[in-house]
Amino acid sequence: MEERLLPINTLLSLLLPNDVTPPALANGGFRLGGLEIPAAGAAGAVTIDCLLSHADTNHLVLVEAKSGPNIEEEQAVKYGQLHASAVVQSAYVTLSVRTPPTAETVYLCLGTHLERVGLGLANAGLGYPIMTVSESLVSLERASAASAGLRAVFADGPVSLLGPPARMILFDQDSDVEVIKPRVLAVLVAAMAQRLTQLTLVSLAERATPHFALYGRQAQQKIKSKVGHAARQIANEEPSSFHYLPTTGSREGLVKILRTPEDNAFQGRTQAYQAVGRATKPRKTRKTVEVVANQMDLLAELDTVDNASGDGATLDGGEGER
Amino acid sequence: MTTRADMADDLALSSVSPTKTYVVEAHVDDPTACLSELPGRLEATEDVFLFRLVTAEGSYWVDQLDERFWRFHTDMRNADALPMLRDWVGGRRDLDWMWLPSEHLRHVWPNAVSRRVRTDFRGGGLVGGDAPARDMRVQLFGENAERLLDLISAVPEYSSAVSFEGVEAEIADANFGRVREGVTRTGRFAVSGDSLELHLQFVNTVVERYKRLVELCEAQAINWQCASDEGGGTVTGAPIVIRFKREIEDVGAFADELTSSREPFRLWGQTSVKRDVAEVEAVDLHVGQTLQMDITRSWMRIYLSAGSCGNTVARLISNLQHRFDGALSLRDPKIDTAARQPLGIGV
Repeated sequence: MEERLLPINTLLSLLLPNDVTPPALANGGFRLGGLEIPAAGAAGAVTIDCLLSHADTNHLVLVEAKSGPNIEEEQAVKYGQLHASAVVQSAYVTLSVRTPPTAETVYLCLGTHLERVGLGLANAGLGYPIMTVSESLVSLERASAASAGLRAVFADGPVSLLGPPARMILFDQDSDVEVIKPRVLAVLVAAMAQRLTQLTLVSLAERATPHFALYGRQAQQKIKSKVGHAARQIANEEPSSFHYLPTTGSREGLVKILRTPEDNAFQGRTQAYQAVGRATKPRKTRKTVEVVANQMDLLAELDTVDNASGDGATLDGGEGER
Repeated sequence: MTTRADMADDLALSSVSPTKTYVVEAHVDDPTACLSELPGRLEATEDVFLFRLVTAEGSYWVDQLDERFWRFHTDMRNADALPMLRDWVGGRRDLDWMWLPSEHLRHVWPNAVSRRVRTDFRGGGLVGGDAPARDMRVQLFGENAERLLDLISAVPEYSSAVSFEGVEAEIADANFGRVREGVTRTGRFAVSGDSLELHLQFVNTVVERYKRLVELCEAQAINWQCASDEGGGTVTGAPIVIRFKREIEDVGAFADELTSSREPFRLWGQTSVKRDVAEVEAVDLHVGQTLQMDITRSWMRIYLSAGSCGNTVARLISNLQHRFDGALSLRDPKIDTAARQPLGIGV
């Protein structure tokens, strides 16, 4: 995972039940209200990166997730001008208790960027709480400015992370093409397995980016462009499998799938899949031992064909390279 | 006109040539059209869910009463009956087998007397060479044959290598009769006895328990929902976390082996390793769908997308039990219960 996406993914992980990351925010009563929510206040419109809502109190936490150390003062001011009721309407938040909603803004950043983000907010005259993320801890800074509900989540100090957060956001519009490329290749291999003959760049971008529809038009265009770059690189590296056709005035760009391993016989299919993406997939090998079963009972009767065919009965099924 | 009663008359449940039942998991829009692709003559019956497929090797009764898990019953030898089904399932992305977790076989029916049990663990490319039980296959024949395996499971060094591959058990019911059932982890049954009804109940019980596991996994699938044309939305669901009892020596090599496109996993993948965490972009070649995984030395996170089949996770669980850790567990208590608790407890 890109380090710049660590803050937003950690925040989302704190909401997940039964993950390795402790669900500290979920345990504190917070739920995800929305992502990339466009909302307008007295100072103008702003897109809320992540909205948390507290079902018992109708309190909203408007989170601006910073992937870097810089803040935009104008944006920060706009956050502070948003009315809770407007955010409820924009994000279609369902209120379950008859209490007027309230809202606070929180900035989220890497721990290493705390000083710069804090300075930026101070320069704008804003005292928003800041949630910081490192590989092992999530902390709430300027906690005195935070709501009681948010402070309660961190009442025992920073939240310790027991492992890397879930990769809910694999990449965004600012990610490098190299980060996006494995995902694009996976989508193309899935298309091969489904015997599709081509994918448009829009379809490829939507399949590669599960959260594509959440982004505004500008961000979608950037993602589509980067997915296109990744697809072109893949086609150049695997010319016998893929052909890239760029967008023209009259046609949406697309990737043609020239052949699929599914056309091979069973034995050759595995090797053909192994060959896809091999240039970027160094393999380690291990010696394995083949074991042959010899049974004479009902279960053996069920196995006779399997053992002969290698359908999982041997370590490598008698096919593919090791 | 043919009815279910004819099926009951036709299937012999003989001890010499036992009746077989194969369960196929299907995601198809037109079940009848799907069946008509099979070689042979497909005959409708008076029951719209029941068909008879007559082939050169023999005949199958195909029961689609369960829209998702179809049953193929036949008295043919397995060597004659299975190849056609295997080629058919293997050639389509919308069909799959069941992949029963080990515990579903260990406790296959309340108070059943097991006559034969078989475990099959082949650590091969996933388990390090120094592991105390890299490969372990045990077959026991006798009353309550699984008890020795319970003892082996209690030894920490060997618990990860106990993974049930098949079980044969005697089942009796005062209302139905008596059958002797053999069942493997891919949902293939062989039965002899005097009650087809009891056999069908047995298959239903195994399938329903498995279906619950699959549906719980699907309920956890990650679903991105758009709020409006202006953008914004939310996400529901969460990754599914598998915890291992044995430690992975080299997460990169483990991920490469897992995603080598080979049976039984049939996962294609690209792996990047950072700080001892393997991030995997994979494709489940059984169904042609993408899948992400994070693999650390002691746990694995699986991201199942909305619309994907929960069978993908169930298959991964079952195959990991047979290739890496028979003592693995699931972090989600509901899914863990569905996968590992004995029949009748929380299921």
